[in-house]
This record gives sequence, structure tokens and C-alpha cells, in this order.
Amino acid sequence: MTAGVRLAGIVKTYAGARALDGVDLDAAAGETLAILGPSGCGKTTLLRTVAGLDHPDTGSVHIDGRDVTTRPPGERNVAMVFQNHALLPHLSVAENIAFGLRARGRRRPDDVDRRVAEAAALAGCDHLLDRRPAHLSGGERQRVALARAVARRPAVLLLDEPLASLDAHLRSRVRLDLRQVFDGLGVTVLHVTHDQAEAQALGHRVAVVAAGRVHQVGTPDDVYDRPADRFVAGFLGIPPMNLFEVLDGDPPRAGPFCLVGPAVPGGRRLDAGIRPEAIRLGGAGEGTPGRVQAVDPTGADAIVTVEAAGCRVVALVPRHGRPVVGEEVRVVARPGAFHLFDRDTGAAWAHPGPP
Amino acid sequence: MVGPFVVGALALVVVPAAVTLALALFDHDLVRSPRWVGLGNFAALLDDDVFRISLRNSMAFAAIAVPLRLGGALALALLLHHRRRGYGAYRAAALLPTVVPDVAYGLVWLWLLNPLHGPINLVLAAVGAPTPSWLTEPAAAQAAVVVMSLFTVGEGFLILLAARAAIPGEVYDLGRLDGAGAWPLFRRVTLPYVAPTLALLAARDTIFAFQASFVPALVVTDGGPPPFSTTYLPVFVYRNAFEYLRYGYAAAATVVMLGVTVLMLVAQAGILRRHRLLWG
Repeated sequence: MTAGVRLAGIVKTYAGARALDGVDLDAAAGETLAILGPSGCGKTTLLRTVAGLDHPDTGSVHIDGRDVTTRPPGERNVAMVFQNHALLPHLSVAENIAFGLRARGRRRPDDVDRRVAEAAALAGCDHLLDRRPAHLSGGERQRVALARAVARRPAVLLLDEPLASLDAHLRSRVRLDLRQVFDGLGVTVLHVTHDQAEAQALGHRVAVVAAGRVHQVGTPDDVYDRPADRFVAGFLGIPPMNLFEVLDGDPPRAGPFCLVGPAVPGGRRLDAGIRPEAIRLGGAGEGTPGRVQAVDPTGADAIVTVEAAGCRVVALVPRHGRPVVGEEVRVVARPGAFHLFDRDTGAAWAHPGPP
Repeated sequence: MVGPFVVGALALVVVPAAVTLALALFDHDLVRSPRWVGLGNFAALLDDDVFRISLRNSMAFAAIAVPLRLGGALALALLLHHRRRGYGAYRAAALLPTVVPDVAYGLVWLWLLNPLHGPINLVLAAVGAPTPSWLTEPAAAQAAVVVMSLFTVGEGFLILLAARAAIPGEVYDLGRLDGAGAWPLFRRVTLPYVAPTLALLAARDTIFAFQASFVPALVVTDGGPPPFSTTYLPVFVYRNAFEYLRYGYAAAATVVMLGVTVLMLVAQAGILRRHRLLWG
């Protein structure tokens, strides 16, 4: 059974500060919506509001068309997985998974066992049923927490940074498994994370949240290629987008680069952003001269920080053939690769076309 | 570094304990020189009716007071766990009886339990309940000593408060999401988590019960009402040692007290092990 989730006008105040400031959010039935944002942006509060663990000051929560704003958590058919797996240490894995089923008190033993086996198989922990949580690794515990959540066949699955306490290697492996579980169940998933790679890998759509407000909701490509405002532009992308003030002139300048292409409207204060991967190190006579300040090889690429024309520019170049610190280079921006943002409101003004 | 502690432990604990053990084998009244009687003191104890009554009183007190005290401490800890308005004041109130000096505490109860003018009986009379003569009826006096011990649960309360705070909040969130009510949550989540702490406190309280009955019995009921209804083992030892000057005899009673305490602790450990309240 799947259900859509709809949040409308949610406001939640904690000790005088607005944790959620008028949030409207929709997740279609069966969709995985990744809720992405920095720490303290209110995304956990959002999740708890959907679960019914916190009540909003104003606003409504609908699950599958039903208004559940005033319903207790137990009546919403929602399940949750926490970063801290919250398994009961005195019960075995099988008993932990069955806990939610038994809490309702109306299950026959063989029915419970079957459900537990199904959920454990789905989450990949069916070989651990007799163990105690203390004897499991971090990844195994999260699988058990997941099995516990899906055993009840909830309408909505809520995950609160479930992979945050796993090491990077394990995280990417478990991420793949999660994707399979979500697709297999067809359940509506709200997945809260501060890890943008995770959000883009797991979410059909991504909601970018900061300071209790939703900045943008869109597919991973939408939020990356066409960010709605300066915050989203700066948050998505590693390394972050370069942002420069647009200086009037003929042609207008942004940092060490000249802006050519569609007319930049005059009389408006703008910022221009360009992603590091759209900047290359050119040959003699090209672009703007600069000096390399730092070089960070990461995987197949290298992050090169260059000081050019008094501005700090970050470029992403292939790892092999990367420059060394102190080298004189020339930075070249791909034509038409600039995003334009209104300097005062931060809202996006123009986006580059596809490369 | 541990020098002062070792010296203190030796001088204040080990040496007196050794002296007491040795004294149990003598007959000594501080006037004449000690006279060796071997196990004669223990034989005399077996024949002594007052000793048997004292032993029975002490064990009954421990059996009744310890579970009630632990239950009270747990209830207080759970009730005062969540941040609410004024919870600081309530927590302080829960601790206060424990930090009041024993004798002062006893004297306050002497007034409270006064059959004619004490507030307890005045309140009971006002609601039409029976007003027992607390300090002059044997059963009522024993009940009074138990009731007095129910309020000094401050230590257990603090420890259980810490144990409850150590339980991750998400566990209860998950329980609420599953629709579990307050009682199932308590029985299947809270209790298993605090069980090891409760077990430790039970052992400690059992030891404590054998000694806690001393001051109330001495100050409030004076070991009476006759015959010896609130004479507990410590009172028996005190009287024999300092009033009747039978030091060897009292020391022997103390040794028996130690033995009984150890037996009760062993029994507790056996029961708990069987019930798998401790996990791991």
C-alpha cells in the first residue's frame, strides 16, 4: 500500500525560533523524495511532523488524502529509521523486527514469523536473526532497523540520515541496497540527508531545505543544472560553484572572466556563478592569467584553486596533467556556462543551456 | 596517592571488623578482662528469644521495605524524567528526606505519628479513615518504620534518573510509531533497560535495610511497643553492647547480621540470573 504525502503551510516554533517557516511539500505515491539541507535547517523537524512525533503550530499533514494532522503517530501507518538505529539491546534481531508487529497485539505467531522473515530478507539481514544488536556491525544494525520499519508494511517510510554514522565505503554499498528496497516495495519514502551525493542517488526528486524553508524541489538534474537561487547553487556541487559579483562594463565582468552571450540586463545588481567543471586551464593567450594556490587530487579529478585577476577561482581538472602549486596558468570559462542570480534576493535570473 | 584511602579503609573498616570478629569469641564487659568462650556466644544467641524476634523483624522489614523503596524510586525517576515546569523543585523535594540527618528525620516523624496531635492522624480522621495508634500498637509501629523508610529513596531516585536518561529517545519514538501504549512501553522498553540498575540497587538496599531500621527504631519507637515489635538487629546489638555491656555477645550478633545479609544477596543473585533480566 502506498500513499502520497502532502504538507501544507507547516509552521513550527521552538523557543522563539522558527524551525519550520511555512513549508509546502508534496511527495507522490511511491516516490522517493530526498530532503537535503545543512545541519539545523529543520529537516528532522519536518520528518517528525509527518510522523506525528511533533505537532506543527499551524498547517496540515495529509497522508494518502487523509488529514492526519491531529492523529497520533500510531494511527498514521508511518515507519521511521533513525541515524542512531535505536534497536533494543536485550532482544534478538528477529524480536526487534517483530517488536512493531507485536505492539499492536493482534498477530498470530506464525504470521509474525513470516513477516519477520520477509522483512529481513528484503533488508539483507536474514542471516542474522538470532544475533543480538551488540554483536552486529554498524551496517548490519541499520539493515535490521530498516527491516523493523518495513515489517509493518507502512504507507510512508521516513529515514532520518540513516547512513550518516557509516563509513564512506559502507555508505555507498548500503545506498545501492536501499534503492533496490525502495523500488521493490513501491512505498513513499522521505529521506532526509545532508549528503548531496546520497540525495541525488536515492531521490526521484530532491527538496533543498534551509532555515526552515524549502528553496527548491526538482529532479536531481533540475536542482543541479537549474538551481532556483544562490543558496541551492552553492549547496549542490562539490566543489561548490564559483560566485562573483557582476561588474558593469563592456563587456560586463564576473571575477576574472568576461560575460558574453545573452544581454545582461542593465540596472540590476547581479551575481554570476560558474561551476568548477566548466572552467579549464587553457594554453597561452587564452582566458585570464593566474597563479595556482592549491591542488587537491580527488579520485579521477583534481581541484585546483587559482588566483586570477585578484579573484579566487576553483576549477575541476583531470587528475593527470594537473598543475603544481605556484605554477602560472590561464583560466578559461566555457562560453555561456554562467548562472545569473539577483544579488539582493538571491533568486536565479538565467541558467546556461546544456553543455 | 591512594595512601590516605588505604589508611582510612584500614583504620575505619578493616581493623574494627577484625576486632568485632575476634570479640565475638569472647565475653567482655569493659570492666573485667575478656574471657574466652569460643562459640558460646553463638549458642546463647540461638537460645535467645529476643534475638530471634530481632532477626525476624529485620528480615521482614527488608523483605517489605526494599521492593517498596525501589518501586517508589523508579516511579519518581520516571515521573520526573521529562522537562516540565518546576521539575527542578520536585526533584529537590524527592531528594530532601535523604539528605536530612537521620536523627532529625526520626524526630520529625515522632511528631507526625503522634496519635492525638500528629498531622497524619488528623488528616486520616478528617477523611473518616481509621487512625491507628502508631507508636503504641505493635503492627502499626512496624508499619510506621516501613513508611518512614519509603521517603528516603533519594539515592536510588538519582541513580534511576540517570539510568532512564541513558535510554535513547528514538526508542520511544519508534514505540509511539508502532502504536504502543504507555504500559507496553514501560514493560518492554523501559524496564529491560533499567533492570541492571534495579538489580544493583536491590542489593545495595538490602544491605542498607538491615542498618536503616536502626535510627527510627531507636529514636521514634525505642524498640517497642512491647514486646520488642520494632527491635531490629542493629537495635539488639546496640542494647547488648552499650546498655547491657555484653560486648562479645553483641559482636556475635553482628557477625550473624553479616551472614544473613550475605545470604540474602546470594539469593537475590540467584533469582536474577535465572530470570535473565540482565542481558548480554
